[in-house]
Amino acid sequence: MLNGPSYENLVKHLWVRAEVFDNHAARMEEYEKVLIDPTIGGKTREELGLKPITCTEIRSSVMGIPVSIT
Amino acid sequence: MNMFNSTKKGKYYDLKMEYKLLLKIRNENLLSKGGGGDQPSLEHKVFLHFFITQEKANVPKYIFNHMIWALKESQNSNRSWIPYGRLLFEIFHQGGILKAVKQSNIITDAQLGTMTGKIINGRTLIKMELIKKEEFKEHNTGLKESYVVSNLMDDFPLICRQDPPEVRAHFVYDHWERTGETIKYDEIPETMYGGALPIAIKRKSKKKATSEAVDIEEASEPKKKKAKKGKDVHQEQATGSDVPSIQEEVWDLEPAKILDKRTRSGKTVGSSQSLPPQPSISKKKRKPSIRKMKVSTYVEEEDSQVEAVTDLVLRDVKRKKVVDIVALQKVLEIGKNIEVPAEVLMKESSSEQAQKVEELAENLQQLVMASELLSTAEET
Repeated sequence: MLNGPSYENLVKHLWVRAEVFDNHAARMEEYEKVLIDPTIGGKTREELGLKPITCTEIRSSVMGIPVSIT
Repeated sequence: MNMFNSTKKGKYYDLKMEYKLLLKIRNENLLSKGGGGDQPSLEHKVFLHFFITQEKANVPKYIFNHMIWALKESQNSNRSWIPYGRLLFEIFHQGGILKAVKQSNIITDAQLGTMTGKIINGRTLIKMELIKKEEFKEHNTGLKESYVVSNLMDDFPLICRQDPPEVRAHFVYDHWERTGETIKYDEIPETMYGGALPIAIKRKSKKKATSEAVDIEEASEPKKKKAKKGKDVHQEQATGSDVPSIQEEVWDLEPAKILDKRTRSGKTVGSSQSLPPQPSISKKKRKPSIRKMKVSTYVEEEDSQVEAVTDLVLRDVKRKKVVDIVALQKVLEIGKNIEVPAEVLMKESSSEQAQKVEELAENLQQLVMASELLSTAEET
């Protein structure tokens, strides 16, 4: 089951672009949005046009396809 | 009771042989850590304890947390290695990325770079100093690293018949729960090899070994096979134990080989000769070489035709040039002849104009004189 090949380049592509998206990252994202436009302060994430945060994710992309591991 | 044989602070050398091996597996696969594994931390000890006591723990959570830790490490402190490569690959498969890659039909296996994991066998036990070198005896059915030249993992056979029956049963059940499809026993590949190998000459002996292993396994579980054979009457692929038929099928399906043919046709013939001389492949390989010859002769003919045409065009241009030069010379000669009367004409015309101007001037003078006379007359 574990003995078999895997494409290392695909995995490398994923790993290079990967970023941890946790509560801290979500707060930073909101903060940046407010910095750009101060009038939208106090709105929810959905109103700001951001994805709702359910749990910690690893977000990345492989060949243009977004991948998120939760 | 604890997993260490001593009541003091737990150390590696107090562990049992099985536990040492479990710790090694855990260190390399689940919670991969750098450095030596002889000083397990508390987290690692707890994890090992769960394994040994068969207490259920949330292993995916452990894996995910470790993945996040490794990611932060790689971003902040340049740790350049990736854990859970095979797991990530499985995610690609389930997410349909591999399918998309296959459909695009641009990328070959070589570009993606195939990797295999390590194998724990008797040699690793010797290295870990768990058994002595004299006790080790290599068996021909031992697990070998599998290098499948795959058709970009068409079905991604996660299981093969060499896996233990419990693993197979769990996998089949899990697959049925997830997708609603049942995996028949005959659909499970015998080995992870699946296809012909790029280094077939070296692997011939190993193929035999694996087929033997399959025979042994089939002999060990005859009941299961019979029971399942009864259910599925119509089988699309007659797999059985004839490995070469599967290999041929895979050879036909391989996009990498076809792509190679396409790319090589324009370049060199020598590259195809360097490949292993398998009988079935060599026939296929010869065809494109003949095609190459045809193509080359055709190109040569085309080249010669083009050269002939260009020669003709050049000759025509040269002739035209010569004719043009002669015509120019003639025109110049005629021009020289014409120049003289033209000058004469110019002179004549200028003299006439001068006479006219003189007449006009005289008239003007007369007019001026008349006006002066009139003005004097008025004054008087």
